[in-house]
Amino acid sequence: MNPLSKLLNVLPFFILIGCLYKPVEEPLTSVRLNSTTTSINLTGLTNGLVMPLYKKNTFQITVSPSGLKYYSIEVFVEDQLQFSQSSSSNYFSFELDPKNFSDGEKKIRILSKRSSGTKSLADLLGNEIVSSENSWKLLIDKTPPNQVSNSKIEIIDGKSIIKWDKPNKENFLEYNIVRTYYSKTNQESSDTLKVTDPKLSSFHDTNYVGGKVSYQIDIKGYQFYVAGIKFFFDCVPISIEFQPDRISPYFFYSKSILYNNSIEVAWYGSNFYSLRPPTSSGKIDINVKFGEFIDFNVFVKPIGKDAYNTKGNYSISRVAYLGYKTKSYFTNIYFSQQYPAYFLGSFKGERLASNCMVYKLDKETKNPIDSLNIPFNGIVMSQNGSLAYLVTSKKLLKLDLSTLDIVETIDFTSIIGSGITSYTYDSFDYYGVTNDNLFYYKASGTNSATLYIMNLTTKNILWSKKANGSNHYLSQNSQYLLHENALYDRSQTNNWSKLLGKFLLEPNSINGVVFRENNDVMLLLGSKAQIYDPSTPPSSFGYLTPKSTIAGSTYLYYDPTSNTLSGKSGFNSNNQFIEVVDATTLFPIKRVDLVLDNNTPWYTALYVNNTFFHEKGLFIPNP
Amino acid sequence: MKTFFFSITLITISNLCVSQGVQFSFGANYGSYNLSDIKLLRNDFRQQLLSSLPISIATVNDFPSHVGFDLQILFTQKKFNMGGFASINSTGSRLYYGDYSGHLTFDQLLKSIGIGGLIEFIPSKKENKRAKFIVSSKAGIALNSYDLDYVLQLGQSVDLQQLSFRSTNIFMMPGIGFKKKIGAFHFQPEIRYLIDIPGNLKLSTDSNLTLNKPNGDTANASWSGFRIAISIGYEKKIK
Repeated sequence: MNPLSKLLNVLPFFILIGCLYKPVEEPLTSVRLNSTTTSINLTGLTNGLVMPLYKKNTFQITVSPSGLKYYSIEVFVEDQLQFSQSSSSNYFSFELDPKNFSDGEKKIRILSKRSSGTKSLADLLGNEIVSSENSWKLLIDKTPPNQVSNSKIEIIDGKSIIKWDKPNKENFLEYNIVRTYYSKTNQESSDTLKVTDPKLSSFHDTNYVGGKVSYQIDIKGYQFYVAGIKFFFDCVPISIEFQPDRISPYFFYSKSILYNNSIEVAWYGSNFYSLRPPTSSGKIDINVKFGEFIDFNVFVKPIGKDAYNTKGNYSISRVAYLGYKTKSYFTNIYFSQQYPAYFLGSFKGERLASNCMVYKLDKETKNPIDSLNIPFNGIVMSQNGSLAYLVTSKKLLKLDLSTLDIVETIDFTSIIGSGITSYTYDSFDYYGVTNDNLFYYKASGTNSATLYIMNLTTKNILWSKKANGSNHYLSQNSQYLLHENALYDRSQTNNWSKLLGKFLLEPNSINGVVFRENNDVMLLLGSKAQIYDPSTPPSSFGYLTPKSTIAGSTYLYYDPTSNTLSGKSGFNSNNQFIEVVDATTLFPIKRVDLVLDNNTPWYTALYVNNTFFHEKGLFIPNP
Repeated sequence: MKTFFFSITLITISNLCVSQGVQFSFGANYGSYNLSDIKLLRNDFRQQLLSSLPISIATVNDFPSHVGFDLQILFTQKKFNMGGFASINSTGSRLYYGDYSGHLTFDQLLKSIGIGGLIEFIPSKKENKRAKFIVSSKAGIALNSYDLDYVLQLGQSVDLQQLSFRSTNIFMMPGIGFKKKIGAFHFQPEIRYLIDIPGNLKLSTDSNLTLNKPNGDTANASWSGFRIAISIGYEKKIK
């Protein structure tokens, strides 16, 4: 073979083998193996311990190490898959509901997978996975425990502590303490206090403000509720006493027995505001000047809570501090027709369904020691404690209180005329007696009522007038007549038909009137009591200007023994007090708040013979 | 293209008729390649890869100079030699990362097969044994292939993705060198410069699809660059 042939034979091999480019190989990159081990932390569960599962619970799982590319978990309870999830986060949460399992101890197993974290190519592509597994124990118990027993409340170191015997198991969520306050009118108001630790057997009701309350400790489980037994408690949280003083009146309050409860005494007044914790006794000065008054309320309330939305509020509606320097006496007494009347602390008149009873009372015990049954249904009135009158639609009975005898019967029919037989006794009738006269307002219809004034001795009708309206009062000496909210005067003449003046009075709604003996002052009892001098009317038609104003009072009583005027203020059980003023100076000298007594009625309340009492027979010690 | 081949063939036959001999030569060349679009595509791929995999991927080969080979036939006269030639050149690049868990390889393989005609001019008129200076020029077409191989191997699992593109370039390659005769053989070193007019790279399986650069322009494989060549040959006189 010649050289050319040889060259041509080998040339293709050179071309095939040597001509074409081939990439060179590269050595492997070294990767530092991550030797960290996997740990699985399950919030609330400790290895080796049994965790109770008494309610639907959300578990949190943290797989370590963090910061890897891929994580996944599978949760098994008794080898049943409950939850599985993959994530780029090492944090997982899942929920287990005990209702899905039977009672007993259960094994919970968690299988975790994660990236290796070596930063190798397989790891970065998520193909290098490390698995690990951990397990714990759960306790499922859905059977309700026993009822809470032996519950009670104790006041310990100023704290109201509720105590009870724990039930036989702790497989419940919380104690629900149903607290019910009872108002003075026995209206109930409930709320629920929650104690979330089943291991506890006592609870400090820090917001208990005193007063009648009941508690019922219920047990609330995930799917059961065990009611407890209601028990009652009552205490007076604080004693508040008004201390009148001619220079600087004040309220005195005692240290509260609940001094370590989170409660406070809040004083709210139009010109006065203060908060004082009841940790010690003290006094609240009342910044009121002569002739002025202040409205304010006292609340025992939880600290930080709105007093108007809380339980156990107590209020004192008004303190009046004023005076009138003219020495004189009030002599007329007016009682409601519908409610029992007390006469000078020794007698009580009571109107019943078809008769009336007059009782003579023991001065010490106030218990009846004698009685008179009057077979008429009417109103008992007295003006001086020696004589009393009972008025019906047809008759007026004069009673001798010292002997409890009916000493005179006056037939209205013979005095007023034949028309009297058509009169019906209704709530629009008004009566009053003075030393000499009876005034009697007979309402036989809305527009046909007649007011009569009769001399009790001569039985003569002194004056009669067709009139509407509801308030008619005669002064003791019959010089002035308050009629239809206007004042009639016959002091200058003896002619009742000749009215010297007519003055409108405010307020229009007047519940009563008292004329002082010499008629220089009359006291009107309305929504607020006002003092007028009828002898100095305005020169022209217009309103009378009050000389002064005292605490609002629905009823007034004059006690000649102590020369005091007493009246009760307030129309509801939360806002009542008896105020006593000096009848001469009108300075307030005593006051008793009725608000702490749940049974306080809202009717008559008097101060007689230095003793407070009212028609229900509740006698209040003299403060 | 047909006209080009026809012209080359006609020149060769006419030259054959008047030639004094026939030279067969085989040579090797070594030079640089422009391949700017291909390098751009490689860099773009590298960027995309690093953005998804934070690995220290290495550029193992970066279109290195690689030995190419030439075959040529010349019909000799006194000063002009004319003939045809065929050549093959290849280069490529490799991006590579590997560790114990597997490896990732991205290969770009380029191959160019050129054919065409050539002419040599020998200025010297002297007949002696000394090496003679020559000026040459080649012109022809180059058939290019551009193969992309992406290999991801994790353990026993292998993911292989391949793409292949084709293009046709027209080129001209002037050169200068020496030719030293030793009996019937000769030895010829040369230096050349390839001027390439590249065509678009088209997907081999669908010529309607072209390879585009990141900016949307079509990509091509330009082999322009200097070549250092050396060849040996054998001449047979024609009587």
